[in-house]
Amino acid sequence: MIAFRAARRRLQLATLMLAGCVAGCAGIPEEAYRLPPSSPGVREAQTRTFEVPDEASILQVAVALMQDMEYNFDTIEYELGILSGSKVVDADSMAQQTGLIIADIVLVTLSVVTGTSLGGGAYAGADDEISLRITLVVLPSLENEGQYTARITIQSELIDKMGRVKKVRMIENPVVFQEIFENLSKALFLEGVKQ
Amino acid sequence: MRPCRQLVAMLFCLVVGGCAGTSPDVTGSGTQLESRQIQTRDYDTLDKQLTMRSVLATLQDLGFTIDNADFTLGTITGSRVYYEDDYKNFSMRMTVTVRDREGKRVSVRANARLNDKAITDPQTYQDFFAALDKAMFLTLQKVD
Repeated sequence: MIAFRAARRRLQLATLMLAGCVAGCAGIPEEAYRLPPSSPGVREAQTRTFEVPDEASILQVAVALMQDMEYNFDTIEYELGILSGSKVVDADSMAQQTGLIIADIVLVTLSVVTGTSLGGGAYAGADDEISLRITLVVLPSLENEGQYTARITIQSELIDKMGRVKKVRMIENPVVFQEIFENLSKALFLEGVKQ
Repeated sequence: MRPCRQLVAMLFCLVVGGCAGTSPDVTGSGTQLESRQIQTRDYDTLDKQLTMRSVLATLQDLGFTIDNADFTLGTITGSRVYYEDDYKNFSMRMTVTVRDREGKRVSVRANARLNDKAITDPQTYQDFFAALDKAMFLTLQKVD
């Protein structure tokens, strides 16, 4: 009877190990494989039409604008009107960082006083950097000759102090795109490109 | 008792062997005819330039940013991210190639990876081509 129980326990352990490893190997959710199209609202926010004399003038101004926004170019393909760039920015405000350092000091003090480990490391687990990737595609309009459509897509990665990717997302806030397009429009005006 | 210990050992070997390969997958699994068919679609409506334009519109519509593109070789590579939970993020990287075929046909092939694995799920490619079909139609109708 005891031998039977021990064997059963071992079998349970083996099943648990197998389940754990299978979960570790195949932990990709079904949704990650799907490719749902953007909503019409997002598409509209990401797109703006400009009336400029030629493609080169709008692309040159767009290059300067992306540099103004402090992006470095990863790829440019003139024939397809593609400009892709990236930058890394600081994620935390100074106030947040100071608060987390104080939280860590409190945790360490409590650990010393109580003699137990309270699992500090609020600062280490804090957000550190945001990596941004932007793509701007400028193509001649199919609907109206002399017009050019510009479409932007942006992704962000939030990286913590340990260098681990915490959050990823596609930027869909219309205000962001509105601001970029307004700046592009202003830059075209300042460069003397007739719109 | 003894057979049980052997069973545990066998399960352990199976799991460890299955999860952790010893050499990196340099050459891939070798594309089988079936997966090549899933990844490829032929069109006879638009030329290479307009097809690539439609591919770009499709990738942006599906939330990709463009990593690399070359008009001469007809390649566009993009990435898109999927967030499930903190520290549980997934990145899909897709390369689309557009090639002129005989007559006025154009062949479009897409291959994608999700994190460190090649995507063999036909649904991913069906999603892509469903969106591309729509974009090709809109381009043909001269709709931006």
